[in-house]
Amino acid sequence: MFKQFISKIPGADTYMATSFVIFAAFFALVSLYLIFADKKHLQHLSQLPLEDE
Amino acid sequence: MNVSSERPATTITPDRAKLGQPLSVPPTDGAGLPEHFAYDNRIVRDFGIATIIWGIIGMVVGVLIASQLFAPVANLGSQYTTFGRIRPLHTNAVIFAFVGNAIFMGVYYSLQRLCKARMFSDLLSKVHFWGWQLIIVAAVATLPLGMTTSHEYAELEWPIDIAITVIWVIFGINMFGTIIKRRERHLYVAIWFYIATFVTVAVLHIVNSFEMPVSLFKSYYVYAGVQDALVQWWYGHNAVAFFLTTPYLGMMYYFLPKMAGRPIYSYKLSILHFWALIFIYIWAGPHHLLYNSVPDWAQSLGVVFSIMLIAPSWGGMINGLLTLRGAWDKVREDAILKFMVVGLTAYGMATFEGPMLALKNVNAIAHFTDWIVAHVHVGALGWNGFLTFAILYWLIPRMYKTPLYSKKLLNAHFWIGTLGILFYAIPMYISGFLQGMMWKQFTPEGLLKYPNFLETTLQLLPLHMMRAFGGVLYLTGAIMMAYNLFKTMAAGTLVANEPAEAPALAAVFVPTGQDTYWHRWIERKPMPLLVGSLVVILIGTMVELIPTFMVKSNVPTIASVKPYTALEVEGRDLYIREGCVNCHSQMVRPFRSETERYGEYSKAGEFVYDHPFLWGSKRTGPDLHRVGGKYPNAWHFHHMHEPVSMSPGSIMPPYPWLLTQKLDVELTTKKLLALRSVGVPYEDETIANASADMQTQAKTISADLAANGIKVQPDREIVALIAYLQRLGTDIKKIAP
Repeated sequence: MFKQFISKIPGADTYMATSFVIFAAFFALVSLYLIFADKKHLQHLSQLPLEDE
Repeated sequence: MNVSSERPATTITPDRAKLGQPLSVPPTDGAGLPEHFAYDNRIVRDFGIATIIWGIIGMVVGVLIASQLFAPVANLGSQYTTFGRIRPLHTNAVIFAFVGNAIFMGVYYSLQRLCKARMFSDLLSKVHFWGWQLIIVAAVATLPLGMTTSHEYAELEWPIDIAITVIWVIFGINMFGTIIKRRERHLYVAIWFYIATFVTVAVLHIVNSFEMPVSLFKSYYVYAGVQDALVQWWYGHNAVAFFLTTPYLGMMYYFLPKMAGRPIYSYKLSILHFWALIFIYIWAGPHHLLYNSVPDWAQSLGVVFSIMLIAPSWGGMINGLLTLRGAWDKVREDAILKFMVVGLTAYGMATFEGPMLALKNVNAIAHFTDWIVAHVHVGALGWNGFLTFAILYWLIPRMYKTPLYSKKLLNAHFWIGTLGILFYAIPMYISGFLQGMMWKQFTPEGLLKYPNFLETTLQLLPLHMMRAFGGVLYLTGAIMMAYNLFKTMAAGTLVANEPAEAPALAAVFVPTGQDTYWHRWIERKPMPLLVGSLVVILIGTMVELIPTFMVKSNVPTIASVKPYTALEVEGRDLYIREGCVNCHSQMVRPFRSETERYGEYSKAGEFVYDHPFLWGSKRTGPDLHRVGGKYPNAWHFHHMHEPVSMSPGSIMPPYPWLLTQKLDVELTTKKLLALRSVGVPYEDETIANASADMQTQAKTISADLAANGIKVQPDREIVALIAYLQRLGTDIKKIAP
């Protein structure tokens, strides 16, 4: 018979792992930004929808 | 449009004010003299009315198709109103007409105010509005006629696909034009969601619409089988993400603070869950194809990212619900906020349930059943429907400067709508679980307990009746809303051009302090935000799709699988026209319960010539992948003519027109050429002899029917359909042991 479900494809491990690392790095970068973000600035941003009241 | 009479007296020339163009004031970053301009409320109102009307139409069709599933007479005896043809009408009407118009209503209202600028171009706004309505009318006209690509939620044929692209680009130009001429330096998070929506829907729509036209209203996808399935569910899953979710999160981030009179709970959380959501969502598409003939690694990828998706999804829900902290007294009294709370709760439930359904053990039971229908409708009725209702109730009185006509009706709508959701979802959950378990149940002797598929369908009819009742309740609520809002409009006058003022931005912005941070930079720049969103969604897209296209071994070929004959191609197109895929799958999963019932499980290599794939997503009737050779031709003839004659109690509608309508063979050669151009290896000789071969095969079937006492001309549609059905899943049986 023939192979039905491919568990591996050449180079896929590196391919997917790289993408996952990109996501993790990006997520860490955004998290770091948020940790050190200026609270006053964020407060200003969160008020934007209420400004035209 | 009389704009000058509705604007306060100023020294601004009306035309410039109308367009919101900057005046000759010193360009400073919010510190200059105020500029006077007017928000365009008319376009918001127009999209609002379209939302209400199309919403009701979509829901009426929904109730009709729900009734067809327990009372076949509701198919109305016409080929234009059978379930297979109008189920796509329902999904297209509620997704693209109801939700689509609601998105544009919410975006056009909030974007102007968040940018402190009128929409970029009134003309583009109008072209967008009327273009979108024309597309919907085209859908209403073509789908009942059987003009469909059969890709779920992307059924419209190629000329309409092109029109959608053009109108979507017009929407994008109008949106980015407004953002560019804004008077607020920073882009509020709602706008990020709108930008991500725009760019991702554009990518999804274009990639999922690569079709080879045969005629004005017939085409074949360039993808086949496994690739086509992966593209379709990459699209389908992300249409839910970027059409039903991200624009609504954007609207939630604008309208909920307005309604509650307080800012969003955590702006930090909104940023974090925005990036995480758009990054992760795009990967999860293959969870629609678990245990199907797609590569194992793609299925696992879909499962992992679906589980990860809980975090950013719940980030949005929690952020919304916590915005109401300390304001729950308002919720008790304000039905608009009640709609928002139930909508957010439904979002939370659906986005928890989605990842659970992506677990293979749960999916094994839930897939192809009513469970998925329940899941989808918790999101659609609760999240999209209730948020839309809340925004309409909030917007219309404000734009007409008059109180809502009836708060009692508003309250009644909330309760009847909530009851409608419960009556819809609970029976469907029970039905789905029951159905999934019955399919899998064996006797102690090791035989299927319910070998006749119909037996499992008939058990569900009372639950389907309750579901339809739930739909009627929900529809009644929507009609009450329409009455309430139209009375409100009649009592007030539309402020078509709402006066506003804001100082212009400085022409050159000099960042200082934390303004130099990279994310602060992206918050000010729409284009990098667009590019960033695009890169993020393309990473997942490439990982999901490229290996399947690039690596040949991902789809093992089977030597005995051959292209369909000309008559079978025509029969397959009839199968597509009648929307058989809406009730019948062509995918036998590798479970004993399925191989016992249907035969050998489906292999990826069996679908290499299937443009499009027809695996389906719901089994109202049995799977058909191994139906070829299972019954004699005469059985199919009688079954299509009157299903109950072969399957007593069947809820399948009769298809008598197939017996009388002559098969249209005008395009047969063009069809084979088109299929060859997308990779089906038809020889020149096959194409040249298509007509003769077709007649020979049709005569053989006709003669067999005649031998069984059925007189039918070989040139009738039923003959081609039988040819296709008898071919299904048989190639693999030709392999020598």
